Amino acid sequence: MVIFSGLQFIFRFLPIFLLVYYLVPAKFRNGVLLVGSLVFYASGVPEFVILLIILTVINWWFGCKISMARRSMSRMDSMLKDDVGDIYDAGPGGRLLRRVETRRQLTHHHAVVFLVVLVVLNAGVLTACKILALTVDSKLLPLGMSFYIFKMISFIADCYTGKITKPQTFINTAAYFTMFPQVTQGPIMRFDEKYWETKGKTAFQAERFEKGIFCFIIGLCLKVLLADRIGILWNEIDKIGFESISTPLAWLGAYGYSFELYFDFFGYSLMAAGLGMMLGFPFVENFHHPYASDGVAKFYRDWHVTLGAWFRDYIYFPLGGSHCSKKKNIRNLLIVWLITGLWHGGTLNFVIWGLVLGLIIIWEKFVMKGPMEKFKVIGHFHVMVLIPLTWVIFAIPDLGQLGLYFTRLFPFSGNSGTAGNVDPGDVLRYLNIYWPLFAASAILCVPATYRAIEKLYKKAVGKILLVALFWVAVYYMTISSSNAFMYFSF
Amino acid sequence: MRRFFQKIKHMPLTISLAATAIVFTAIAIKGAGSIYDDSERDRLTTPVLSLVFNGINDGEYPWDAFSGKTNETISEASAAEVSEAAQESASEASDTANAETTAMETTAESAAVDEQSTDSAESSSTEVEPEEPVVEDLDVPEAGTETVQLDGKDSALIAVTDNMVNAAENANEEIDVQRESNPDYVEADSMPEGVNSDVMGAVDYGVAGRRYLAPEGAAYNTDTTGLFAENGHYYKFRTVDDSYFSDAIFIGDSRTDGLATYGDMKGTSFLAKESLSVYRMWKIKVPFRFADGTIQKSTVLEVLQNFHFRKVYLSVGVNELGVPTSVDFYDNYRDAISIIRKLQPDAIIYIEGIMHVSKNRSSSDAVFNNTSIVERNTAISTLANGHDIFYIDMNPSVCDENGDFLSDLTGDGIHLKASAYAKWHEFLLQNAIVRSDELDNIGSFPTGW
Repeated sequence: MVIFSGLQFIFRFLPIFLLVYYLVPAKFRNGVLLVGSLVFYASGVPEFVILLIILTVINWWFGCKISMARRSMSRMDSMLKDDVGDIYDAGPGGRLLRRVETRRQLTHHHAVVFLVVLVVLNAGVLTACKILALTVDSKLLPLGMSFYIFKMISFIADCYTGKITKPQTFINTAAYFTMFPQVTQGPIMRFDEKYWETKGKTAFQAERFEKGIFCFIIGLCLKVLLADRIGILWNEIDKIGFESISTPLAWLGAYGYSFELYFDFFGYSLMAAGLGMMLGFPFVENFHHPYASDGVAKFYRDWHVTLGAWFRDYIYFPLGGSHCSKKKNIRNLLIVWLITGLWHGGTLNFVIWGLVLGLIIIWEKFVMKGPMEKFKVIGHFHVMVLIPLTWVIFAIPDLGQLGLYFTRLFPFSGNSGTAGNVDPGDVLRYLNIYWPLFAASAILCVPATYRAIEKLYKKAVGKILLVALFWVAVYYMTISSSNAFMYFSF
Repeated sequence: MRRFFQKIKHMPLTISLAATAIVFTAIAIKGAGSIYDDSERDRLTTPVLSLVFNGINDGEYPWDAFSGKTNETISEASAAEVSEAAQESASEASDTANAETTAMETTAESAAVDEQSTDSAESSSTEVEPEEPVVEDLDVPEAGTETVQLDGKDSALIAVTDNMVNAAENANEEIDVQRESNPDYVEADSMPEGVNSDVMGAVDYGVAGRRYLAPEGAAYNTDTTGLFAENGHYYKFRTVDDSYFSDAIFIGDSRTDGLATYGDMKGTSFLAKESLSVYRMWKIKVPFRFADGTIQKSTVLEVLQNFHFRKVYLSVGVNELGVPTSVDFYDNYRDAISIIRKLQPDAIIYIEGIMHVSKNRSSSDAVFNNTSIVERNTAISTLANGHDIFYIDMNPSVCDENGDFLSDLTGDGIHLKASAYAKWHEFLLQNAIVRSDELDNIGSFPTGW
């Protein structure tokens, strides 16, 4: 039930949840969201829902404490500022002021301690689970932990910096952490205080609800009709064995995998955003046509936007960002990309992936800046050729197999000895089957396509097409999951 | 309430979705009694409208639910079509039937190819009253048409032509003559070593789901007697070269497809498709690679009805692991063998043991594990009689001593990597039966019936 592109979610959980959500008085909606989200989470991983609740409570409680400390501190600040007296006065006035000063320092000290403890706790729990998943059993990394921990850290940090101005109610905070549209794979939305405060008072907005369904269906189709189907190509290549694929097939595979990853995650993000809108939340953008970018740096501002923004705000900027010496800037970029690699996965290939990207970005920023501004084609080449190659690193955990794949991609003399039993016609065979999916993928990488879709949707025929596409997607979901008799096709 | 309706006006998408959902649900409910089988659906997780989509996938369309059609209705017009077309192809091919005994040919241009392209017999479009499954003793067949039960619930009309009868009779006669000079034709009271492969066992990791295995005390009923060997005599395996396969056909699932692509077996015929299984074998369109190198889509029924092969290799079983139980699988497999025997009366039938899976799968997957596979292999191996139906098990070539598929030969634990198909090919070359009538003439180009 935790998979959005599944029959149980679309035809059981969602309709029932929406019914309850909109039947109760508006002020109870956040509570319904919280309860519903916990039910949702428990249906997927019942053994970890307690952990989620515990972390929620801890982060909320300490967030409150930090906010209260901030409030006290600002009260004390105004006391210290407004008072005409002198803090160094030996009399009672000065003594009071000095006591306030001490209290303030202590409060600040507490706030810092809370911040550090919580950040360490959150990051530590995530790291521990990731290590356990790598070494013992992959099921030990709870569903969504990489995402909800980041929400919790951002909440704590925002309480500390004052972005969140006062202590929040438990229900609002818990609903924010656990909300089902985002708990499994993001987007990593920030806590918008004003929004959560007023949410219980706003009426149902039909247009936003419809827009939400529109987004959800587009996302669903991208995942089920495009990503899942083009993803089969990578499985086939894996089946054949990397030593037996021709070079053209290796390249086709790299692009197939890149498209699969993009439309799978983009599709999911649209579904999540659509669900949010159906519940009254604003649209959260997580992908902004990354493959149309003119450079790898820009690509990663447009790819998994909320993750990049999180790393930028909570790691890159605190380290100094780019407002420091060139050496420090490079160091900061490498640190961020190292952590990014580790966040995605613990095996060595992810570390390599992160560092390679960090190096490319440093290269673009400090070496290629001029040429790239003059010749946009360089940046586009980086995005359209280098990025798919980096996805190959991302895709293959075994370094030996990874090296093997690269010898197939670049079969220079001395490499060809590794090939075994290649079928020279293999790429034609697969192109014959997959070319429509590749064509569709290329078209859907272009921003203009989406403007056209939105324009078409405004007309009746567009809406009819969308409903039809929805049912086609349901068809594919039904037959691929109808495992009453057959599990998979072999 | 009025506000509700005002808002609804602005929600055309929601309305359309709700309306279409209701329509599909209604169709599903209406059809649930007749064309849709609603017994396996998990009501907690799966909406009833999924029946409509599963139905479309199986070829049953929503409008059928309203026309009163059920799985058992006859379409008489198409039944007549079938027997006509079968007779036609039989007479067209009678000239080429004599080419059976000519020398080997592995290149293109044969009457069979032309015949195949003009023949458009749609032998697979009938739906007839199902009859009792017929498993006959393997004597010389009688000419005529008969209905056979396919896939457990579907049926088809097959035609046993005069050519088929002739082929069986010829085989009988010629074998009689040549037997004495065949060193692999041995006399024995019961099946000796070297006749059928042993079923390769495997370590049981204890994860096999009970519901897929045979119930306790299941026994397998075999009553297949031989055509080519008198009682008390058997054929043993010997090594051959690739020309042996020129009049063979390999029928199977994606593993066989891999053999066709990467096994370096040019000049052999293949009917292979991912997802092929004894439950869905006869009427789906499958890529048919003919020995001359051409590829087209055809159904297994059509190909076996129209072409004369001397060896038929059947390799299915992995897709059926998710269907309970082993006994059910065995029954369907047996029916499949009997239909093959009817359409290819003088062919050697090789039952290929299901290839094992890797240790990763076998020790963690309740469906895809070697315990289940070995149980099913044991069952189908009882169909081999050492006379004209043989069981071959290539697992020792690709597995370790625990019966687990060697992990460096596979990517997903279920398929051989392209570079490893040579091992399967090698095994096939070393485990072949040469009938007495073929001692001088081991393989020739397949012809039409």
